[in-house]
Amino acid sequence: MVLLKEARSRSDADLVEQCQAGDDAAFDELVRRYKDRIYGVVFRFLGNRDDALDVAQEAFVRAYRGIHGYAGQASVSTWFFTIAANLARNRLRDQHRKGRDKSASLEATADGGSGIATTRETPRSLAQRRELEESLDACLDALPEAQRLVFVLRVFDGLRYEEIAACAGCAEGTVKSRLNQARRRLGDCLKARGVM
Amino acid sequence: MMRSCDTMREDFSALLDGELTPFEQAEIEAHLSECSECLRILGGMKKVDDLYRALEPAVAPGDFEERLKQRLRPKVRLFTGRRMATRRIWLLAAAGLIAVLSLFLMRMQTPSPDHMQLTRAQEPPTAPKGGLMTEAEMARPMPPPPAPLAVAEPAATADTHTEALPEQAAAAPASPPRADMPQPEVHGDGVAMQYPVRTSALGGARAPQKMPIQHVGPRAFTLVEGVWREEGYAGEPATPLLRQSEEFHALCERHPDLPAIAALGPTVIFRLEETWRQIETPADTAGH
Repeated sequence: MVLLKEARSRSDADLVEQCQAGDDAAFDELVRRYKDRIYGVVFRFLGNRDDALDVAQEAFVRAYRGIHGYAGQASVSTWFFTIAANLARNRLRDQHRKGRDKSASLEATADGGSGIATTRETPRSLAQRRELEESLDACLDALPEAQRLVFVLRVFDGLRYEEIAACAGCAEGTVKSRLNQARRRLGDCLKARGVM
Repeated sequence: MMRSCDTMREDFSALLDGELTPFEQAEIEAHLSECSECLRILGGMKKVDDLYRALEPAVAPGDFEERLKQRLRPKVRLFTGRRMATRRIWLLAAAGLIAVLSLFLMRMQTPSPDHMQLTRAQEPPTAPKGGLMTEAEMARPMPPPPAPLAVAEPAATADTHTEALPEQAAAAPASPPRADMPQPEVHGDGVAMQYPVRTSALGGARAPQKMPIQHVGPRAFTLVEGVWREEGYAGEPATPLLRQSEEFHALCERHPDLPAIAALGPTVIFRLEETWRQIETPADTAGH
């Protein structure tokens, strides 16, 4: 318990250093800190719960195996998100090749696991909420991959442009431009669906 | 100089995200106070953000860390958890299979005791490397004889090769060289011995028998009942030729390979000047 408390009080950089020294508990703490953020972003990007789980896990596996190569040039969170973003983009391309399966996404929405936050819902409001979520999913899904990535990283996780640029492998100016385009496209799409 | 609406709109996202400098922000806000169209567009972008941010955060499944640990450190969990019994059964089955296969292979490669004795006593130098011939291999018909031997150097003694002592070969079958007997193979500047595999009258295979063969130049000699016989000899009368006799010395001068032939053993039958001759040792020198 003491060890767990100690680990939780340490900075990301300290935990990475401990992990590099062979302390697996330090990596466990990093996973605990970032699992929801990584999973959440990947889920919004891919729109599929099973793929999101697999990609998020794989991102941590890659990070664990490559922990000795991390030299602190970027923040730990940026490093994790960069790995996850690359894997997610690869998975998205695979999905496009194979034909996307949204069943897991719909299932996730139906059980309220990742939909709009509500308290008690009437059947009618539940149906409206599902309709809205489907529209939001569909419009996000229609965005080009590069725009979707920056939008998801910004809106769902609040990363700064500098961090997004590092994750997406582009300039900050490009991030700004892509975000602008993404928001306007989404606005047009949602208007066309009667959401806005 | 005031920027146009289009250039202003390029910064709307940065404005929403708080990524503009105070100066840039003030400039856009001043524009928005005068441009309703830009204000409407900005409002639409903010609405988009609000809608997506209203989605409930996607949270990793409760067993995320457990699953990850299994992916990261599977060895730790090899014998624990619900699947322990199943894994143990599979491992035991695999170990059993390996053991059975190992025994089978050992049995295949280990000859029986009597077979081992035969092998030690009689296995020829050119037997298949690394193992014995199987019964099926031994029972297989002999291959046709290879092309006639060609030996480069017919020197008197340098190219004779003895593979077995005459006394060792005394038990060799008393029969002329078989037509199907494989001929020696030339390897480099030497001659390798080959031994036929004898087959019993019932067709069963036996261990290889030694049939010593020696070569003197192009001539091949087979040891039969203690007598070295040149290839082609079929029991014709052979004229005796005593060692150390005048005739022997005279023939040695004309035939440089004769001393090597005579050195094959106490008695040698060979063809010389269109007749079969039998070199014999005079009684007073025999045994020396």
